[in-house]
Amino acid sequence: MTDMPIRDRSPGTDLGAGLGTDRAGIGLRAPHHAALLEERPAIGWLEIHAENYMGGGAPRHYLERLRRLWPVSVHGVGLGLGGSALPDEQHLARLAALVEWLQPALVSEHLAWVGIDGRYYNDLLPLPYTEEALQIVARNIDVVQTRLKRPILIENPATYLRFRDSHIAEAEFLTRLSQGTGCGILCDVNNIYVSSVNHVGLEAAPAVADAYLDSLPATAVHEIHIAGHAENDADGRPILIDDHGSLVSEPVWRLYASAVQRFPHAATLLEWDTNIPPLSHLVAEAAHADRRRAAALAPSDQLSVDEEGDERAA
Amino acid sequence: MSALLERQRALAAALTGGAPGIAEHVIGDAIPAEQRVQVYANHFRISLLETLASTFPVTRALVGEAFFAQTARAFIAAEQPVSPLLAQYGSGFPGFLAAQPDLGAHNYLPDVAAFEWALNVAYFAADVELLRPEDLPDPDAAARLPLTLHPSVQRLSTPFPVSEIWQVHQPDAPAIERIDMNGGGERLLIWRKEIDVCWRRLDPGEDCLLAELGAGQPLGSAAMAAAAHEAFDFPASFSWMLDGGIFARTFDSGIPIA
Repeated sequence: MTDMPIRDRSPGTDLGAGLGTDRAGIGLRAPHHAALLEERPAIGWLEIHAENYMGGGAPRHYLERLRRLWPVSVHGVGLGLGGSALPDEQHLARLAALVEWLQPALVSEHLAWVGIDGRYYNDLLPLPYTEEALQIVARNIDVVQTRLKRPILIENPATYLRFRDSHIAEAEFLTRLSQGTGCGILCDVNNIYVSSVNHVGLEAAPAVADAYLDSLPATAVHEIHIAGHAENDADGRPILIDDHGSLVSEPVWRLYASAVQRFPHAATLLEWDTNIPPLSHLVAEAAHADRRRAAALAPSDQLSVDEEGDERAA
Repeated sequence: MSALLERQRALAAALTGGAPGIAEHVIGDAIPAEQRVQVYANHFRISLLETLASTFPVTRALVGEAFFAQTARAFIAAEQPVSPLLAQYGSGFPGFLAAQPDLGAHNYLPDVAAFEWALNVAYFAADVELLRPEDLPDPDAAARLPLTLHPSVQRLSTPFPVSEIWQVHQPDAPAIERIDMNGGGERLLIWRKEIDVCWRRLDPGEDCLLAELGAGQPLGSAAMAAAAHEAFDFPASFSWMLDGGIFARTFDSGIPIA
């Protein structure tokens, strides 16, 4: 197995510039369609799950109106770039048609697989980080980027297990994918924290998570995701579940501050996909992200924003 | 076989059947490998159970949480999604319910589930341009045309009062004191008009007309077949169908749109 050829196709630093960094965006969910049109809140942009907008009817109807009010990013969850097979042709065609119609500011997918042998598992499943997998995922990203005629971003997954034969660190795996295919990186700080706790435990996690950020190539990161997670108990040891169902936790905010210092040009997106609250809660949490970001980028003698935490929606 | 493919097949097997092979390839520490695999297996089962519950809410209300969960789990074990589009998961659930031996007095359940599935399909169906009255040529020419149904259009024939059962489980349900289960069945049309999912009862002639058109028969011969049913009123029926967005716009002034 040879190393992946480096074709020096690092993405331009303007990838995703259409989203801007002034205000965080929010994930678009059907329960908020009407409220967004009605209330027109002060958010930066919207991100859709591609798969929710591949049919017609109400989702398309609202998206057609919302896209006129905010920049939109397309976030796929169904391609399975980490699969051993090529991306499903039918699904890629659906994604290409959506992207062609919407002309989004960014398109992103995950470092994960979703199905095998014609069956799908409704999850972002982990893969071993090996030289073989690196070649396969790079090939899949090439296929998608060629089809969409644009570079995409690849997001780091939240994981609950690691394979024994993984011998490439995840951040390095993403870095080499970016170098080899010209794809950008979507840095999900909640996923980094969740995976860190799940693999090294609560105490060691913050340092491991910071080291992860350090090893990402700063110019390749064009988007940051933040979200809440749930905490389960595995016989006395916490196991964090990336459920996007609550406020962002304090350790993730701290990691977010480190991320915006390293990747100041990257747009921020707040995800909330389960236990979906009223739109105003999301807007308040996105505004809190804006304050966290401003504080992280402010000269160090200025006020820390940690004390502002109680302004957030409960 | 590539090592990646091997790991993926092993993890997939663990998600659906509890095959233990994958654990030996997973790092176990303070949290054992088996427990780590189990996080994924739990998510697989629970997320698909939630998907079925949200697609079949009335079916679930009719049988109760416990029976629904038990049947849904059996279905998930038997039939995994074949598309990354989650909205397409559950098409086999009504048939799976029908094959359950212990339905007893709940024998109407598969048809209620089929109705809910049709509503789901209509919600996600593709958008197409609708046929407008002015697209049709003169009646003689129109009679020779096949009409294309909107992609959301589905028909459901049932010996049970399915729409009535479904309605009493809606949040804004009209007060119906008692449903007569032996009051005769119904022929239902389910479709989407713009963004609204709709349904209505069809009379036998209307049902026949749409069946013939759906099978590719020209409008004239479909109407002839429908006229064999008592009380079929072609102008009235065709008029609400046109207004309701039942037909796709596949021609313009009688000329097929390329």
